[in-house]
Amino acid sequence: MKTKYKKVISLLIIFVILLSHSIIPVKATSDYYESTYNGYLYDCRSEFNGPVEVYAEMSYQGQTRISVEIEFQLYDDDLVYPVVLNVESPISRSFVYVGVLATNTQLFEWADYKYTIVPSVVYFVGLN
Amino acid sequence: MFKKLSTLLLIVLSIGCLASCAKNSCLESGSNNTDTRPSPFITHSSDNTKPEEYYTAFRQGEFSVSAYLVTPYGMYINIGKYVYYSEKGNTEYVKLCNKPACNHSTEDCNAYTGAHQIGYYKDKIYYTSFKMNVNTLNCMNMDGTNHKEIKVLNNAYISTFGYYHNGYFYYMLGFPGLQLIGITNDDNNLYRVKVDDNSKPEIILTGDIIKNSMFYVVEDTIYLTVREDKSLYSYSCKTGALTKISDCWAGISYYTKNYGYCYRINEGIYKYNVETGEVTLEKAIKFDNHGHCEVRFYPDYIYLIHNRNDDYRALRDQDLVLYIYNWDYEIIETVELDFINKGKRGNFITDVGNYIIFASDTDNKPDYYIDKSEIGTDKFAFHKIEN
Repeated sequence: MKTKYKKVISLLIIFVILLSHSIIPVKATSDYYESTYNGYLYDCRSEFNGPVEVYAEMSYQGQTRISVEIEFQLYDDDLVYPVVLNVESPISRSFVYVGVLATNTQLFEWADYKYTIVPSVVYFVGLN
Repeated sequence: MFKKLSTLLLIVLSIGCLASCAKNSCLESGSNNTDTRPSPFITHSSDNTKPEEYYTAFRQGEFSVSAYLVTPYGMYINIGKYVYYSEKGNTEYVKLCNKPACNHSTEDCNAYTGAHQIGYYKDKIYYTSFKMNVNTLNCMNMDGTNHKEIKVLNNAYISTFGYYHNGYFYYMLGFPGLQLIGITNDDNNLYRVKVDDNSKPEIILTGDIIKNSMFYVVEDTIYLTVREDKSLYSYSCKTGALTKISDCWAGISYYTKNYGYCYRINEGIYKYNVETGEVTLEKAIKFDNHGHCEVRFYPDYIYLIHNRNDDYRALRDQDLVLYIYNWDYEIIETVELDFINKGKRGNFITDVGNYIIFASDTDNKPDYYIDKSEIGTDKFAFHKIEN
């Protein structure tokens, strides 16, 4: 009986830790997703290393061309306002990637990642 | 009993954990407004007292770049790719769409531009878009109808940064200071393109200074502040001369035909005299707890917003005080912006003539204003923008 309680309490503690970790704003977040399109595997990796870097990469085993786009909001200390910009990888087969590094007076506030197997958007995720 | 309680706790915690672990919604920011009402019937004002440039010139003191329009039809603000309309700036903001049964949260909505910067010129709203490595210039009517692409600006792996000014869109590719991974951007041109015809973009200045500077266009002069050393340059479109003016300037600044102004951190307000070329410290301003300051210059007042938070980069945890100066550099109002909720980034939005507009959350619609006729009087207060 005691062991059972210990187990439950341990689980509770783990959940509390997980919960508190997910509530506190974490600057570095990432996301990984994989699925199939027309029977071929593709995967998407998104990284938000706030405040200095956003990065995305995608691979696809089919022959169709792919691309990845990041839309991000950047706050610029010098200009004291936020701007939103987009970057997109070259459209290519198999593997594509794109990213942006900020200076020490800029910080990324959020980023949206859009993954395309031409012409369809197959995955979208937002990170901050 | 304990078992039941533990199970219940586990379930509650699991749900909470999963919910908070979820990534951001796929909804674009600003699209979470559930207001489905149509925008009102929009007409051209009968006030012909203001010159066209009042409406079409770049608004230098804004909270952002080309996000707010003061037009003869009313006020427009671009938030999260949607355009909102307000008749007077201090009146309700609604999405610019009068399509019946539109829920104003999809790309079919008339208010949706997909853009982050908008401009006004001759009864049209202009915006750029970036799709599949192509930057295009587009327009729509003042009531949000009739969206159409005007021209392709360029093919690039990065979107444009710039603003609308008197019938032109001035822009560069990318943004000063950013380094790219996996793609390159060798373009070091400053372009401008006429918004209402079929002409192609023209290069008005080339050089690495473009990739590292904020630019301001004042008649035939372009002012450039280099972000690394805060030096100020001017470029004459007439003569092609690039001249260094000062080593002592700041990123955010304000220019008229005869003078330039900037605020340097914990130093104060500097003034550049175009005729004499002199740069002078006009008003020393220092704070014990400097935090972070931003200064917005307008023809009748100067608005200084002091973020007293030690970690001023914690943008969502601000402690803001607004100081309103007259042009004799005297403080005439000091007020805490205590309506800004913790966890939100609220701020000064713009000055629309009779009113100063604020948002308690700049990701959403403006919701407070100051009536400028109350500045310096007992009546001075923040008013809520009512629906």
